[in-house]
Amino acid sequence: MLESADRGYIVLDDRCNRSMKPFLRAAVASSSNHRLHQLCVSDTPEPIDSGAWHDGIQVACLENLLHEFENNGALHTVEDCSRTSAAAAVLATQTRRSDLTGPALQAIHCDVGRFLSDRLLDAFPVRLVQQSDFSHVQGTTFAGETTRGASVLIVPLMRGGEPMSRGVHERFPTASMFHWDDDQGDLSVLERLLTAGTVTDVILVDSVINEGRSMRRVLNRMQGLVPSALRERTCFHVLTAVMQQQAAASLPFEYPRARFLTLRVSDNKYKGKGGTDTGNRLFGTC
Amino acid sequence: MIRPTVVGVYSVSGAGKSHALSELSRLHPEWRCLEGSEVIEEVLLDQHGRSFDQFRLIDEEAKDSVRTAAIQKIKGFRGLTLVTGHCSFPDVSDADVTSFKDVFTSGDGETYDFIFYLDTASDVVFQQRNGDSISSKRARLNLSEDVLEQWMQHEKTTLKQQCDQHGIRFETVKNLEQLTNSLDELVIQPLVDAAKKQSKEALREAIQTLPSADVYLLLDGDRTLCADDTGKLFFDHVFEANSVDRQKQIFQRYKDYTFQAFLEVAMLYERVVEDADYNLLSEKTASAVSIYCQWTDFLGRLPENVHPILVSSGNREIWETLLKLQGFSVDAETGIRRMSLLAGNHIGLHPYILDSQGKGLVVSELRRKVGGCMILAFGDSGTC
Repeated sequence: MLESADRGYIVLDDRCNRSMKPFLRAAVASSSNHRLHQLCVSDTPEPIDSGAWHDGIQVACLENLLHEFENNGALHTVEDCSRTSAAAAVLATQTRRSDLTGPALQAIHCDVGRFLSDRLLDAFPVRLVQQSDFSHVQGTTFAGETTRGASVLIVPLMRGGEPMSRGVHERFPTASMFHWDDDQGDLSVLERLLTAGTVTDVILVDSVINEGRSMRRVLNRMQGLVPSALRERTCFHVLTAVMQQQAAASLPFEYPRARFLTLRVSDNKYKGKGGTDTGNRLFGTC
Repeated sequence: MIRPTVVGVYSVSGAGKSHALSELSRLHPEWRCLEGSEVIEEVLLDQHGRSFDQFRLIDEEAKDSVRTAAIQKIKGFRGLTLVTGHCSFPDVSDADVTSFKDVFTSGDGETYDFIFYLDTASDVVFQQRNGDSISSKRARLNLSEDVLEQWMQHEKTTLKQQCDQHGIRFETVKNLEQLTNSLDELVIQPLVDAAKKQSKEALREAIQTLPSADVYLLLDGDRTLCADDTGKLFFDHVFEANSVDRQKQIFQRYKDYTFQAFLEVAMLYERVVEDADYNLLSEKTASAVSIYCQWTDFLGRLPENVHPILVSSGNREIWETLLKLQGFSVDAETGIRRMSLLAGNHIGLHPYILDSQGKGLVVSELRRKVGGCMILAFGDSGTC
């Protein structure tokens, strides 16, 4: 469970459990070691001998964890892909170029949708991936992995989220898609999809989250539309190409059961309008 | 969690049943291994105040009643029972010994799930019988190799018929090695597979009853919440000091901590203590252990949206008692010092056991059950 949890805490006591050594070596070498911490627990207030700590794994303490709970109840933060992925940084650069507009920019956004969906699949395989039988080139059948469809609902926020959502839809080809328009009065299709009880994962897609007003509006409305019996099970995933820093700090705190994934977090407080507004750039409506 | 199973090892006297039983018993402390003759002797003493040698002196009706009572003793164990038995005896009234008296009862037919016939070569049986007579361990009739061959043939035919009639799986094996392999293939592996399936389902059900939370803390028990290995402490009470560590013996059989290893330990619990003693010893062990005070402090200051779950492969009753002694409300949904408990270790008392795959299942089922929840796991070993 240490490896499959969001965070694994390796508990060391003053007797330095020898059976941990091979596990710790593997953990330090693994790609998920950023999720692992070492924790010392004892009955004495004296700190553990520093020689007992293992290199390569961050040290944690229970008191700090309690502070984290106070400051950020649900503990998760916005996943900023550019921080850890060079591919994300390259893609993010493409979205910011002034010479790419219209269909060329839409294609980049579609790429972003595919990229973020792949990250989502890696983060939530239990919820988003299933086994299915396929026909093999050698003439037999084999059991392989595919993305879920009936349990996934993609909701692009019009219009900025539309090109990205095409990329998401490619990754979840059998999922339903509902185009969210703030002006739209009739949500009966959406209500029908949510009350049917098959949807467990809603992927909300928008190209930019500034202060987060639009996304908050959609999240609040959508959470209200989910029948109460299904509320616990349902997960909202928010995908965006860029999110402002302040929104990144507060949204996860306000929506503890939603998960936020962005190509990059921006500390640029400038809000696009006219020729710099993403919607205008995508659809040539400056 | 497992279907109580009775396995008979049949053959003629001197074929090596007792030796096989003793070897298997030594290797598998989690199996209940019984000499059929000893069970009969117990009943004889109870019912007639006689010893086993005098069994042949009582009348047929009394013999049948003793055998039926013996079968009742064999039933009722929730794990695996291995019993040695006799299908027939040579009719000593006939000087040439060409006929055999069958003693397989309908009670036997209803009790056994498997019967293995130890089809040792008749010359070996002959030698072993002579050896036994010389060392005067047991009085044996002086029978020729031919008669022994006939006797064994008769037994195999009769047993095959009886087993077909009663739906018992019947196999002949040439020696202890073949018996061991057949036991593993035909009895143990299907038992393990069925238990795995049932345990997974029961664990899934238990996980569904957990309260909703934004953050789950999955806490290992032994060597994480406390300094001790509570399972070892429990078995120290059961077995004499300096005797073989039976739990360790089972785990050492396997390269990793597999489900089968944990299942066999769960069978060991059933094997070595009665339920009342199990509860008493669990409480005794719990009262000598304490949770690290850093944990009790931390767990007493959790916000409402963070829910702790103790996930342990160890002794459930020890942890239940220990948590209560230290002021925790076990399986409470809200309140300070609440703690849910996911643990199972006893095939007779618990619907599931937890191996490391089971612990992984807790994570994946929680992720499915509660959208967007955060899971933090705490443990002291790579198998957590």
